[in-house]
Amino acid sequence: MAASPEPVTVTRTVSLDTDVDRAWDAVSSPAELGEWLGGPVELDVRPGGVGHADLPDGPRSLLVTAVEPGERLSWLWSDEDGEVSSVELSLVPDGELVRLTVVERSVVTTQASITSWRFEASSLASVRA
Amino acid sequence: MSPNPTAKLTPTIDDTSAVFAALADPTRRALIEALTRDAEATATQLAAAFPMTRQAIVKHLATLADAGLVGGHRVGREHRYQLEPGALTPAAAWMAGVGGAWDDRLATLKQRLGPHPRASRTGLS
Repeated sequence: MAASPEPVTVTRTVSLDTDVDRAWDAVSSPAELGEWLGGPVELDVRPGGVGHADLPDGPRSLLVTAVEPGERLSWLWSDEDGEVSSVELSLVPDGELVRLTVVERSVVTTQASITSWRFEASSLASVRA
Repeated sequence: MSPNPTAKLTPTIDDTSAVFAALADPTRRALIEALTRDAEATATQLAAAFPMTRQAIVKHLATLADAGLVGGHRVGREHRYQLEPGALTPAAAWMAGVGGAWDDRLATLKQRLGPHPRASRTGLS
């Protein structure tokens, strides 16, 4: 399926009844990410780190783009069709709660650049397997 | 393709924002998903899958119809709803799918983390 020619953004915010440390663990630990994203996640959580996720709607290749502990985690991911989007998870303390905002934006990019990091991600997966 | 005065062959900005506004609501996205699965359904059939009245579902369907996403026709005494062919642009379909997925994920996360895990961090589930 063709990606939209212009970036499209989806934003969601949820208030979590926990503290920032716990919330950060939940969004930045691959094992925990897998628990709530809906399938196993293997990810090298540092800028430039790659990984993959087996989500209910299909596998994704991931490339971490930003890590600010306790505040922000961003990655690019692509599905089997090669459609790429960026995901940013940000945490903001809000009284007794933590507000988590997710922004996913479709990315228009060149097929070559996607293929290279998809390859890198699958190589990593086979090395680790 | 034959000209059709009611078809929105070239969506304008207004059309697009009406679509996005219509899809901003999780119930309406779920209705779109249900109609994607079932091709057509009555409001009563659709209401059975939602924790709300048939009347509320009809209202949501009207909003989707205003945005040009859903159409309807009568079969006997029944009003059946279906997706308008081609009405859902790739952008809107992407937003509906991606937004719905994050709604599910964040509901799971919220359930995992709350309420009040501060009192006990042992992680028992």
